[in-house]
Amino acid sequence: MASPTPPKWLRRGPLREGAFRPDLHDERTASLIGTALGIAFVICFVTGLISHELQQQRPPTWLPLPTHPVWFYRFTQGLHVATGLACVPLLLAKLWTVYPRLFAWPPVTSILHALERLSILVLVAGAIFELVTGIQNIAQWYPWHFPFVPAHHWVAWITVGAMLLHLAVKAPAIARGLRNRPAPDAGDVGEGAEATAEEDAAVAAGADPEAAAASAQPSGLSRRVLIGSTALAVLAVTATTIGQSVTSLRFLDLLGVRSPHDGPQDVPINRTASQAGVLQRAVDPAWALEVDGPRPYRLTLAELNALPQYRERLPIACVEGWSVDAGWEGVRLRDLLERAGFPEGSWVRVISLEKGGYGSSVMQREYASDPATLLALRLNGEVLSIDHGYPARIIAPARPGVLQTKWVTRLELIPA
Amino acid sequence: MTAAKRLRIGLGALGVATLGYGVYGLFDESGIRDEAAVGEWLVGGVIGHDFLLAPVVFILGAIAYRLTDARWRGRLAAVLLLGGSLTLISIPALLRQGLNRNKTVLPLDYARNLGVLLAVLLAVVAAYGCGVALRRSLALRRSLRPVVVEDAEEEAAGEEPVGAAAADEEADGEEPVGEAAAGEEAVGAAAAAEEEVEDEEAQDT
Repeated sequence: MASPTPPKWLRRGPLREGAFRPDLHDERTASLIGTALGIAFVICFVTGLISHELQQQRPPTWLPLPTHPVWFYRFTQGLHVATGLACVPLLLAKLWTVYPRLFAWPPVTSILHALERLSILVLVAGAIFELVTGIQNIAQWYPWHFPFVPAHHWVAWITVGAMLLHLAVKAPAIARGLRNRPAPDAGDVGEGAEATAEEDAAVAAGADPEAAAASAQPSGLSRRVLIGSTALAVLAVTATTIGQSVTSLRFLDLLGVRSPHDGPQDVPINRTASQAGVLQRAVDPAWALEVDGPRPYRLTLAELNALPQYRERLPIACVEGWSVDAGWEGVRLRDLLERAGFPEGSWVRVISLEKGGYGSSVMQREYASDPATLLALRLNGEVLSIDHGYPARIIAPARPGVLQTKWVTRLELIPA
Repeated sequence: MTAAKRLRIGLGALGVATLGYGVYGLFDESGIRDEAAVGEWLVGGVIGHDFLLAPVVFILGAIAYRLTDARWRGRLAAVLLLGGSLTLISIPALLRQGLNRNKTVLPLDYARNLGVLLAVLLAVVAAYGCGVALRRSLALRRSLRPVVVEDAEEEAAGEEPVGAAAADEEADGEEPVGEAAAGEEAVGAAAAAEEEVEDEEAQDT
């Protein structure tokens, strides 16, 4: 093996022998916290992909989309954001545990070892990126020069890939850690590059008398305290933010980015009429709904109000994690489509008065044919407020809020 | 090649493929015109953690190590992790509060709420630490009274708070630390008692 300790001039700061106290930077602590973090990442990844798939705007999707239970998206996206927030203490604790490895000497022992360290760099960078961008996104803060959604999506793939690779490389160490077996001596390391650097350093520390004096006293922190504190931190982060999705816990909502009933008609808003630039057009008395199908027609607001009205209790659930149940009232979308002669199972393009990216949405057949999907005219017993999409908006069950198009002006048949 | 090894290689290959798919997607995505900006944020996060946050935490740890005993270190670690996590998740809210035209975004008073949470956290830990210290000194004083050592098993039973303590004069369910004659042992037993208390209180929280 090459020089197991750094040259003398380098032995300072974190490269000094015994710079880190030996306890709690071990395989067992890393495996236990790492397992929790890994599970949390998988939950984030799966719920994130669900949200991504639900927002695909091009027919046909390969997946039948669920409209029931109506809280499906509310649950998956609330879980996505809550789990992401809970990852903050988990990631901090995990990185704290393995931090001394950053200064393992020699930095690289072989090409394989170099690749392994590179994969860990990718994993750490991706993990931090996902949490930082996600937490900034829920606060609607975008201080960067890339679109959030695709960057968050693709870096998630990169991070999960690096995590799988990390699991494969570290499998023996993880197995030892979880079974509470000691790491093997440097003498019988047969696992390849992975274990050598740290153990070499440990052996060197033991052998060097000068180091032995400085060498780490245990800090007195027990693993139980570290893991217990991490669990408490997860609990604290979750408790103070979960109220934005679980409205019965809103009294705990101290740090959530939304307060579930803070907004006109007791419902928060993601994009106001002013932000959407529809303040004038939304209140134009000449507004009428156009439905473009085999038998196209126009309906004024009074005519829409004269059609059979239905009430549905549906959640509005935002990609940013907040959600709230509300009472919606209006015309069944299915009735409007039938009247225009849309074939059964059609896809619909919903066009808003708003211009730009959120100005139209594609509604898949599952939602378009669901009786609970409304062109809503009223919310919680009152005429829709302008910020909630007056004069008419879409509300469909189990769908991301970003697709519940507001200020609807036109419905079009999408040819199959 | 063993099955476990094949599984590992398979998992590693899946990881490389997934990672590669992500990199491909990032560069292929028409929405992302400035991949370098993504790279800057990726690298920036690592620098921010490894060369800013982590050194601060480890230096704080080293200072705490010199100034405190093991018991306070555990509590301080908990304060750091809880307080740090709550603060980190609040940073965007703290910096962006009041700047959004949409008033339903960030509607709470985050500076006040975070301040209250951190104050409660510090108060709980301080009160708890003082409570433990008080009990410890009471236990120590009791242990210095001359008492008869009944049974060697009594000490081992110290881990079960209720049963063994039944015969003891104490009504509050605390362990029979008084039985240990030597002061040093009593401190040890008192520490064990505290650990029990810590357990119970941790579950309460």
